[in-house]
Amino acid sequence: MDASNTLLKRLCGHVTGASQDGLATHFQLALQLLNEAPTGGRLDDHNVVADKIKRRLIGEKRLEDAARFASLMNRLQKSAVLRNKTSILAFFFALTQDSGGPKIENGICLGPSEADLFPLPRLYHQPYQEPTATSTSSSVPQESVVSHVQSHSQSHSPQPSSPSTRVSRLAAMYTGSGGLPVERRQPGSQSQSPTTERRPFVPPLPKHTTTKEAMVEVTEKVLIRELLFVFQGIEGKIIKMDANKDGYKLDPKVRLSGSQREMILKLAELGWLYIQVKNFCEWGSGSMEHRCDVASGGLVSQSLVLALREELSEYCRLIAVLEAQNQDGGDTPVSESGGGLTLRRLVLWTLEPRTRLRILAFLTHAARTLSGGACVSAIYQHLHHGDAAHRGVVRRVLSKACTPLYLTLTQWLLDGTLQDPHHEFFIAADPTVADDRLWQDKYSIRWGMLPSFISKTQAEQVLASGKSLNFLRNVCQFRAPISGRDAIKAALQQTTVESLFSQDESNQLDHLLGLTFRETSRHVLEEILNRHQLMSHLRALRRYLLLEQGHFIHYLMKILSPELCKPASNLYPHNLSSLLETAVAATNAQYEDPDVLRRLDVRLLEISPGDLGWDVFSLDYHVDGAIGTVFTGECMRQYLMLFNALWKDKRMEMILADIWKEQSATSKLCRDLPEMRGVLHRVQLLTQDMVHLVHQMEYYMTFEVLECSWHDLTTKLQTAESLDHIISAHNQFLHRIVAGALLDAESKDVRTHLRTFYNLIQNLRGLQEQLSLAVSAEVNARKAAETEIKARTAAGDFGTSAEREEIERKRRKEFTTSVLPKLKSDLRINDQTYQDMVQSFLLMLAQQDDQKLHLLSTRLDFNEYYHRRDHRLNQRLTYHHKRKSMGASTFQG
Amino acid sequence: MSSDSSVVTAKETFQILMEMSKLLNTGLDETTLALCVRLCDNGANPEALAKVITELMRVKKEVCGQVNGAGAT
Repeated sequence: MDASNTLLKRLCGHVTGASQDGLATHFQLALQLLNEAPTGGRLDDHNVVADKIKRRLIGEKRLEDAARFASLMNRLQKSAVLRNKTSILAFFFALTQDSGGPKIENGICLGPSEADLFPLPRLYHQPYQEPTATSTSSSVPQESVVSHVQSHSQSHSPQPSSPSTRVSRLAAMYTGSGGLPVERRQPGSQSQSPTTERRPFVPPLPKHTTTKEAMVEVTEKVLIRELLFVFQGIEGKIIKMDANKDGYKLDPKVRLSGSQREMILKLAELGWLYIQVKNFCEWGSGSMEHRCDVASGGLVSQSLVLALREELSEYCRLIAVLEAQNQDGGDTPVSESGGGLTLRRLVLWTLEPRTRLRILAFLTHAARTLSGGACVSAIYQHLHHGDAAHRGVVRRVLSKACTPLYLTLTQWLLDGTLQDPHHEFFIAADPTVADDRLWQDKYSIRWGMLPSFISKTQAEQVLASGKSLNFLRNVCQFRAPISGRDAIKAALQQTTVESLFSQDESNQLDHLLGLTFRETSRHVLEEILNRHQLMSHLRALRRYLLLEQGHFIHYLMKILSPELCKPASNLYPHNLSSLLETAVAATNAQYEDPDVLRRLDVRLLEISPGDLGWDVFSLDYHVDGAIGTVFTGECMRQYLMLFNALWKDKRMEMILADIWKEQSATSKLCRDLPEMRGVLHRVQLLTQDMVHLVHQMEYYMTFEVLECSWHDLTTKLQTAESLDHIISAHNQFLHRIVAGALLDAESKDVRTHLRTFYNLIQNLRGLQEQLSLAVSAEVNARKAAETEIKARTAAGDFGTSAEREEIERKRRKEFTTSVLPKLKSDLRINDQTYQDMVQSFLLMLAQQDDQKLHLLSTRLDFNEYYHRRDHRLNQRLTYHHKRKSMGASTFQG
Repeated sequence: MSSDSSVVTAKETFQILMEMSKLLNTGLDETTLALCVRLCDNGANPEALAKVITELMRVKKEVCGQVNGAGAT
């Protein structure tokens, strides 16, 4: 042993190169370092250390070096010189580690999966130490240590008498009084400080000579007593909590054999694990008022704590039994064969609880920052363990932890009530949302809280089920008890908490969720379709807002047109409403359901200066109550938009009809004006052209868009299984119509193009009016001249005179030279603009992807007149061409 | 620690250890290594010993730095 000190001195001298006087401090420092550390540590096997070094090298991508090291290692194994190869290898390893590699915790190497799972130190597996090696210079006699231990154990127990001590200590654990761990720590630190004081460590003389006397002998019985306290997380005299390393360590001055140390440290792991779990429990329930404002916490955590407590109480019962055993065989010395406890027995008997505690510690580690569904998910991950015992423990804990979730779920499914003060359930309710948006906005899925054993579809079913119940109660005002719940209740009785997370074994939960979903959805559908007459409202919307009821619309337009030609600011809604009533009373609409007629109303849109009545008038349909869920504000906006577009189309048709009427009147007048024939013909042609376009547009809207979409909607509504299906079908219906009516964002330019077309129609009407005025004036003038001639002839006078002839000739000449050419040129301009417009409209249609619009363009240009005019329409529209023609058309525009 | 019969093997062993030490970049010279090996064989804690070595090397570096600094001034 003396040799060690000499060696160390030489080492110091050699490395630092310091002189004799400087050497002393270095030597002392070195000696202190060596003595503070547990001496002569021995790892299990040198192969383990060699493996670690190799892994380190491989980790640093030094594969060649690793191979070389392996061969060196092989050679080293053959050499018989070294007594302690492991130690040297560990020395190398520690040295490389200190020189700046990644820090790897000493001790047992964790498997990668376990390390990921639970990155906590494993000090309880620390290599035990050679008792024969260097030790401290402390010279506490054996008795004093024992008495220390005894007094220590007494000082920690609330009452000195041992049987009641046990009970009260256990009781303290269950009640989880927060003071206990603090109490536990303080004496430990106090008891530690004297020992550290006792060895300030500047050994003036080589101490190894006195080692044998300085070592403290401890009987196994004392050790076991210590361990039983350590099992409950109470520090002992010999086995202490090492705050730095977060684990237990042995008092180095106690003399123990290697195997004993190993066993004790192994056993001390139990205490460490116990503290982990217990800390979690106390943290989980200790100060609720504190935890409420922290995001974590809540019922799930509480029930998890409860489950852990139950497991711990089981464990404490075992300790009580062990303690009793220890007391029974207390007086008789522990024999190898007889009763009482030995370290070995302890190791054996605590094997099973150790694994269980370890699992619990894993669980607490996984769940420590989580709450609610996320916490349950974290625990659920541990359920897929290969070990059946492991699974059993996790399953027990998980079913406890899931209980509040299960209760919330059943309440939600059966009553639609949501009692979730800690926001742990995966359904969230927004109390600020009013009833009219209840279906859309009030309830949502909290994805973060969705336990991983509940699938997305199931979560959606759960959401829909509870939402439907709330919808029936709050929106539909459905007060009667909902029938047909017996089946659900029966299914519910078959499920337990465990069926939540054991879906791969049984499908009871799936069955329950599916059944509840179907049943409640059926109720909602019945309510909506039968009591709230969704279909009749849909039909009414189609008739009045989408102008299906043609007669009514025509009549309404006719009686409204004098009003609507006024500026928008001169309109009064009550006038319009009375006109609407007249129209209803005069047409078939009077046989409509009174509820529908009550909802039908007139609405004036926002007025901007210069607007005519036509621009702001709109029909409206009041939706409130339950059907408002289907017809949301957004839907109604779309309906109004559609009405406006269709109403405008309809009006153009009416204008064209008026033009045609005037034309037939004018053409009769023109029999006597042969010079007018050409103009008249052209006007008629243009009008027919426009009528054709308007009719084709109407045909397209009615048959290609409205009817098809309506058909789809009705078939979907017949097969709908839930209100969500209806809503989405209806939204799809609206979307299709809006897109078909060229009102969506993509076909905006087509719509604006159509608007210019409507302007052309209005221009034509003005032209037609001028024309008929001119024609009637001319005809009247000629008639007046003729009657004058006749009157004069009848009076026996000359019918006409040269002077009069001249006037008449001049007037006629003026008509043919000034009025007629002006009309002609106006007409030509109109015609030309119209043709250009149609042509570019056809091009635009060809660029659309919709097949129906292609058909429309075919019908518009059925005799291929415009095809001949523009070669671009002839080509097949490839993507390239599409771009080119688009560019050209915008250039033209 | 070494009897005559095992001198050759002891030398060999030491060479192996030296090579390993170089491989692992420990920065130990032969004398230091020999001393360390003997200490380890005597049952010193390897981790602590490693700490001692790094500590001593640090001291040496400091001393050298001081000497150099003194030389420069």
